[in-house]
Amino acid sequence: MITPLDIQFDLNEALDYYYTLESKFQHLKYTPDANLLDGSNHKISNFYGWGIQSNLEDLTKPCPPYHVHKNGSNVYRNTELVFGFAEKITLVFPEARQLGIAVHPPGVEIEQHVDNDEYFKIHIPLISNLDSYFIFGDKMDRMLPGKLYAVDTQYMHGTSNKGSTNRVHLLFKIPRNLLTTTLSIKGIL
Amino acid sequence: MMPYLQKYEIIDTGWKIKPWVKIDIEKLKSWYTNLEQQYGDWKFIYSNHKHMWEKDPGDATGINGHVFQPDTSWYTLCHNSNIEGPLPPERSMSLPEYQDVDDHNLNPRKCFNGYGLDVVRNLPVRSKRVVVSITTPGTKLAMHQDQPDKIRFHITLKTNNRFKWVIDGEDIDIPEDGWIYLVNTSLPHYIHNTGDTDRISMYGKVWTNDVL
Repeated sequence: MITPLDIQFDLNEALDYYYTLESKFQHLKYTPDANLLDGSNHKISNFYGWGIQSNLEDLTKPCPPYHVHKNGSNVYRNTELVFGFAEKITLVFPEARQLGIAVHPPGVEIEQHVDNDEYFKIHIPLISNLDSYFIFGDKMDRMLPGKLYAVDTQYMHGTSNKGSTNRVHLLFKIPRNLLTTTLSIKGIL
Repeated sequence: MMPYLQKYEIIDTGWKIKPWVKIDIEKLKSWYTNLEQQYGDWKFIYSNHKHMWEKDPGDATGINGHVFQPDTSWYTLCHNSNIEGPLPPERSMSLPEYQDVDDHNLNPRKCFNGYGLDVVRNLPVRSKRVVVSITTPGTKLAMHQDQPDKIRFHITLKTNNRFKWVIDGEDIDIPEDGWIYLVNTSLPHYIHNTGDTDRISMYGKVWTNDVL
């Protein structure tokens, strides 16, 4: 379900990007609001993130990094957050869609669910801890900062940060018909 | 690429940071206030004292080195000489006349006195190269490792909730709580003050084998 990719990147550059969002783009930081499609048992009250690509009509409004906004369309467009490390991602993965950063503080749990099976997801952990898990059924996996992982999200999956520190992932979707090609990419971002 | 970004062996200490020795933090803050008042002109300020470097350790891009701000500053508290005034905190990159012979002793300077010196002298192990670092907003230390034969002790004198340490991929806070923390600086670590206020700490080296 989780496959590490043979792609290296500079974690220093990725952290710089994330902390630039934290310090200079608070106005685009998404926090859960009334426009969140929910009705689930997710524990996300302190969750936040940035939609680097947005499906909202107004690109100056905060967009969640997940496809969960009531006013969101199916079309994603680049926001002003596409620069630096994020821009590099869009150049190496031109089919990347819904690029975003998700911050799961301690206690955040995403209940198990399935995503749209037209896509799979790439996760790039930037910050994590040993008690932060990706859960598939009764199997729990860890993703380590500094690697890229392909995640097959057509199967039931969820996350849980049981640690005492934030878990920060950069993530995006790729069309499923590019799965084999993506898994075969080797090199340095 | 700056020499301080060299990769080293990681020492498995079993922890990334750990509280080590409890101190009177208010007394140490008071000592720091006195340091500022009495030795303010001994403060090495990045933009004011660039002429003291043989090679400037800063890299404004943040790709090949640390990002210092004009007001990023340090008090070099230990030096095996009688030189007065500001001294570069990174000896290996300073001009030869500001370097010293490392005899592995503490070598406190005149500005290192009172409770600040007592704290370090009362550590359970020997130490050296103690510095006060004023990490101003925007200052960033690129991901790096320190030589594994010595790790660091850190005392936070002032911080903010947007000052970030990432150690071995984990967001770790070294709180302003009156503990001296040991930090396994053989692990890759990254520091970034994304807040609006200074972060001030005292740190120094201890021999890894002495604390394990």
